[in-house]
This record gives sequence, structure tokens and C-alpha cells, in this order.
Amino acid sequence: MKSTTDPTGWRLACLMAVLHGLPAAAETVPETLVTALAETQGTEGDADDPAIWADPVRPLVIGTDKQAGLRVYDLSGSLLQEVQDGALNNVDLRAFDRLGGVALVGATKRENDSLVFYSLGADGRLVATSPALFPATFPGVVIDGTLVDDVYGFAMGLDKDGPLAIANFKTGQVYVWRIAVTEGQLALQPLRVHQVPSQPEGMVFDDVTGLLYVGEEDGGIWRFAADGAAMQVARVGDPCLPRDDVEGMAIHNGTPRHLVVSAQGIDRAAIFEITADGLVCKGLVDVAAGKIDGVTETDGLDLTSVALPGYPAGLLVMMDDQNEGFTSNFKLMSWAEIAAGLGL
Amino acid sequence: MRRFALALPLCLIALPALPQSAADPVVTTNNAMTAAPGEWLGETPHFVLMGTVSGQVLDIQMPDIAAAEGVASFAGKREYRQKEGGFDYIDFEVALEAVIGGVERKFEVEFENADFASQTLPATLALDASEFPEGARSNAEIELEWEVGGQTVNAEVAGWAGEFVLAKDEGTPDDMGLSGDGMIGGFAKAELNGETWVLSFTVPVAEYEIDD
Repeated sequence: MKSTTDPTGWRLACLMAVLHGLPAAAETVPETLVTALAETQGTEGDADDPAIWADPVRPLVIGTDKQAGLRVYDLSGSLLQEVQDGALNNVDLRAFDRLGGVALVGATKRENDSLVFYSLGADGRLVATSPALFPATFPGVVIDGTLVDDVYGFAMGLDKDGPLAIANFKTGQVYVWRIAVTEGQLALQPLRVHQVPSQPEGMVFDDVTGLLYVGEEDGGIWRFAADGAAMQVARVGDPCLPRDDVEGMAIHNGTPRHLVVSAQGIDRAAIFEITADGLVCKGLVDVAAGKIDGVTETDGLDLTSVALPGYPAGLLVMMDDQNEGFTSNFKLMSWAEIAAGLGL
Repeated sequence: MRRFALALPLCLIALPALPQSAADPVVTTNNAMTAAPGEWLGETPHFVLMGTVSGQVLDIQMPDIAAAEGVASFAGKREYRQKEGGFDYIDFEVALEAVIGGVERKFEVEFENADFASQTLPATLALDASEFPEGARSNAEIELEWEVGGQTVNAEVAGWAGEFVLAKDEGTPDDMGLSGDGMIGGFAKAELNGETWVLSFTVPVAEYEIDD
């Protein structure tokens, strides 16, 4: 799988302009073409957001199907397990051994504005936790159809005090809980609330710095500290995000470290270098058709820097809306190919 | 827009190696109509879309969906919004998935009104750019999605001017008064920024959703 770079940027910038009606701003942004090395089995439902379990021995991709629940795949894309659990929108996970498994997997459940959790066993199977279902707001907060409404994005994190669950609402609230286990039962303890101006979805918690990145779909990217300090670190209209929506995001823990963001309006992944001051746009990734079809209208994504079989520098997984047979699925790309293409 | 216009001639020079297929007209086989229809084509489930959208030339003639080649799905969906004491019927979409010219393509056409249930059929509505317009007006949005030759066509275009005739809209209300079955049929002719299209359709409704 050869990575084709476009050092002048002209060809792709022009293609983008023709197909998307874009101004020529993207021509100044480095861009690389890569192809997927694998893809998951397609779903006739609506794939949305993936999470990678980066176990070198038994790596998994866990993806939401917004009409059905969760689907678990191996790195060849074969479907290993389906969890029929309703309209699960976003998913994330962290290593977690206090419930008998190896990881805790959480998701936002839209039809009843809740969070749902599963324990990932060493056998790679998901089992609902006890309890499994939690309200997606803090006690006393009323989901009223106006001020607080419609749970949407989800992320998990790990800070110095333990794991976190984070959910956002279309109305802009971002709720953060401490995950605990009390007498063998999963528990969520309210920690703090952040707010973005308009509808968010994609989020990633930076376990290294303790900062939370929240994508405001039509606005850009916000960074929140644990003390509530907020900073907008990228805007829609910037070179890496020429069009909305800002969707899924994930972090690659190399040197330097990078934030990867799904730029749905241009069907690409935007690569930012994480600096102390914010984010620096480093380029765009276009997953083009090769042996496997390309990525279009990408929604959620996930990324690991752990070396996995076939992915020596890490794995990027992106949702693809237009897959063969009128299905949607997830595409798997090599970070090594992306890093080489963009000179990261 | 101005920057785009300036960039385009340079793009045309710089793109000789690109496949042309993404820009090729989208034409169904065995087309019999030599001109766009001037009115709704009737009760038989059909989808006829002729014109240009986002630079894509479309000549899609499926006057009888049951007999059309390459159709993977053809379905309508109604959308309701809750109000005090009931619901407004604010939107419906017509979605076609079909293989045309060897390419898997998705078409969605969506119409909005403050409450379609308040219309007396057949209703002639002026196409209007505002969302969920009141009275004899409707917003129309058309979406095209496909991949061809490694290129993506992904256009969502709203704000059309023109006219929409809602000719048929029947379903079986459930206990909330909402219908997720039946048929919707109509005819539209639209114009925006020099592009025009004409659509006649009758689509079976497969579901409804409540806008929350």
C-alpha cells in the first residue's frame, strides 16, 4: 500500500474545490493520500464511532451502529460480536480490571438520554456491567427539550485519581464523572460540567495532560482543564478545518504528540500537533480508494499509538459513510503511512 | 465564492490526469422520456429526477420503481415535531439507493413545512429557503452521495426556488396520530444559481421519526 503525497497540494486542493465548492485555502495545507489496509464488515444500519482496544495479542475495534448497538471486530474486519442495545451513538474505553474484565467500555444511548457500560473480558467479549445504565446528566438536572437535550458524544479518560466518563449533549453541556466500583457495582460520581456554544459531539480526554478536547461541530475545538479553564484551540474555517462538521477525535502519543480530528465536511482527517499553547495544523489525510474503497463523510474515529500486527506505529480507524452495498463501516489505516506522508 | 471562481481555471489546467467519471452525467438505462415531466406522474411508485445539482447532470428515469434496474431501496420518511397537545408534520424525505451506470448512488430529497398536515391536497407550495416555512411554502434540499473513480460526490444543496405540488400523502395514523406507512407523491421544479431540476415521485413511506 503505497502512500502518495501531493507536495504542491494543487491536485487535491483543486479536486476539493470542484467537488465541494471550497475556496482554495486547502492548497496551503500539506495533504497525504493513504489507502485503508482493512475494513470492517459493513452494516446496513448506521456506523458512527469506533474505539480501539489496543491489545497486541487480541486487538479489537468496537464500533457503534446508531440503529442497533455495538459491533466488535478483529483487525481483519471480521465481526466477532453484536450487542443489540439500541441507539448507541459514541463509544470509548479504558483499561479497567475492577469488574473482572480487562477494560470498561461506555457509550451514549440516545433514545433515553443515558450512558451504558460493558466490561470487556479477556476473551474479547462484551458483557453488560451491573448496573449497566446511568442517566447522562447529574442528579437534579432535567432534560427539558430546550436547555438540556439529546445526549450525543462520549469519551473516557484516565487522570491521577482514576477513570472518567464524559458525555455531551446537543445543547452544549459536557458532563464529567468519576468512575468507581462500590461493593462490586459500577458507580458514577459527578465531577464537573463544561459548556460549548453550540452542538458538540467528538471528544477526547488527554490522559497525559489531563486536558479534555471537545469538538463543537460548527465551531471548532475547545480545550478544557480540570479547573474549568476553557480555550478554543481551533476554529472551523482554519486551514485544517475549512468546513464543518468537526466530528471524532483521538490522540497519537508519539513524539511530538498529535490530535487527529475528523473533518466531515471535507471527508478527511485533520492532523494537529499538540503544543503547550494549543494546536498546530500539520496536514490533512485523505483515505482514497485502493483495493478497499475510500473514506467519505467520515464521522467518528479512533487512534492508537500502540504497535499492533500490521500497524507498527499505530492504527487509525475512521468511519466510512459510503461503503460497498449501501452500507457503512470502519476503515483501518496505518499511522506509519500517514506520518511518512506528512513528514510528522 | 470569488476565490473559488478565480481558482477554477487553474484547476482545470492542473487536473488533466483526473478521471472524468465523477463529472459524467448520471443517466439511467432505457430512458424513454425526451423531456422533463411537467406534472406529477401519478400513483405508481416512481422517481424521475432530471436536471443539474451541484454540477452533476442527472437524467434519472424510473417511472415504475418495480420495473427499474438497479434499485436497492426506495423509501420515504415523515418527521414530526412535538408541540403542546400534539405534533406538527414538519418534514418528509424521499430516499433512493440505486446502482446507476455501475456506481452505487444515494439520492435524498427533503421537503419542509411548518405543518404539512395543514395543507389541503393537492397543495401547490412555493419553494422557499427558510426552514419549516408557514403556509403555502416549502423548503427543499437535495443530497447526492457516491464514489466513482476514487472521487467522492457528496452534495447537499438547499435554498431552492420554484414550486412543489404535494399531490398525495396518505398513511395510517398510530395512537399518537403519526403515520409511518402509506404513500407520498408530488412534483417539484426548482432553480438555484443557474441550476434547475424537475422531480416527480411517489414513494412508499417506511417510517417516521419525532424531531427532538
